[in-house]
Amino acid sequence: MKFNFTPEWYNSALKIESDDVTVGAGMFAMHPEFDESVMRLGESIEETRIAFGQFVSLARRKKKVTIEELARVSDLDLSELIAIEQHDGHFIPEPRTVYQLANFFKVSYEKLMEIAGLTKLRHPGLTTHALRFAARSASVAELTEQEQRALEEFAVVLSEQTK
Amino acid sequence: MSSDISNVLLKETATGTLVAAELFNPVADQQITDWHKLWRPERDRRVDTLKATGVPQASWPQSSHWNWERKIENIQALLSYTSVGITCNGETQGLMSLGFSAHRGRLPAQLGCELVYVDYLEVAPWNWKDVRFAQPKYSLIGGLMIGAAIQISFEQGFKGRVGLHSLPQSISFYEKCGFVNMGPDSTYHFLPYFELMTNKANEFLKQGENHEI
Amino acid sequence: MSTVKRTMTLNLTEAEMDVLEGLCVKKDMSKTAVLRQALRLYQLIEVRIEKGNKLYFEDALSKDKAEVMML
Repeated sequence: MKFNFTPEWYNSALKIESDDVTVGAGMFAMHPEFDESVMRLGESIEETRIAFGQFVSLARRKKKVTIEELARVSDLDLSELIAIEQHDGHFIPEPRTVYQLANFFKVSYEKLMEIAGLTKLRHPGLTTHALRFAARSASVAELTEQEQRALEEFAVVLSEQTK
Repeated sequence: MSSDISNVLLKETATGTLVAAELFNPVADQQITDWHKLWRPERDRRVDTLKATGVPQASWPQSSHWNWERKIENIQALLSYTSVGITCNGETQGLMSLGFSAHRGRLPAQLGCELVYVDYLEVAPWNWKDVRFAQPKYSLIGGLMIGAAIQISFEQGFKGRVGLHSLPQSISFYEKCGFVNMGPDSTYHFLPYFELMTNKANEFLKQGENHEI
Repeated sequence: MSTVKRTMTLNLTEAEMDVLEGLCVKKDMSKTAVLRQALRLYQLIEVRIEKGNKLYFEDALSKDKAEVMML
């Protein structure tokens, strides 16, 4: 359709615009690198994000699924999954990816989003659990007993569904 | 599908004057190309600038490119969606996609009523208002987009009702437009959900009378 | 949204017309607007089902799911 804006409209609209507000809506317009209200300054985002990557990697291997299979079954991008599992803490996953992974591993989406550093921390103690998990697990081909135990404990924390 | 093109005005920051711009509905292929060829590189350049100044590093996932393309494919193929693009000086300055079917009113006065849902609204990186970078080239894009969403809502028989999830930094803008802030939505990444009622929609358009078909 | 429109004559039964008119009153929308919404929803459902998705109603209280369309 065609649109019509009157001179009066432009006058009012100019008053609504302000110098410091960027207009945006919807998750596709989010750019966490720039958005300090989403980024948690002073918190150990990168460290919890390492835990996120490690969780995905270990939980996947525990289920005996390859990255390719995980990508296919969850309808996710392979290169993104690889970047996530490298868990250097710098890679920011897509919200939809976190959602699909939460469904696949049957854990709380809200908590996984916090660990992935995409939303504000809301669950007290979650960061501590994540950091502890990250410290106890390491990247090896087979899950060691220690890794299994660490994974199980962290998975329980993540699974407690919030209402 | 061919686009309807309307003449609109943007405020050019450098000169402080209103300049001619075009509003496309739906979005044309060139605007999608601009997102890839103009917006993303500028965004990446800004990320690199931040990295150089020591702001914590991050990388934009490759898959966002793929997801956005899929999203646009869906928008173009389905009746449930439409899109709006604003160009000026041959470049795309803003993009928006709207949904008609998957959302209903949440405000008590319009609970369950059909409305237009803004599922994506973004302005080009060079129009962002960020003190760490240069002044925005153009403004008024957000206002035009909301105005377009409201006009579409009237056209569809939805009486100007609009719903959206605001980015954290845009909250004061939607409040000024007359939207009701219904608070963080735990079902949508805790982004605040805003909704516009008919009387406020009319006020925003400043035309006094309804646009019902 | 091209503004070019094509016209169609629609033949509905009494019962169908009653339902259509009832929806119009309930939603305070014209017949065209209501049918447009119906068509949009129909297309959306078809596309998702073709992809292999299923359509469910979920009971608000019990969270029980009931499949809407059996294929």
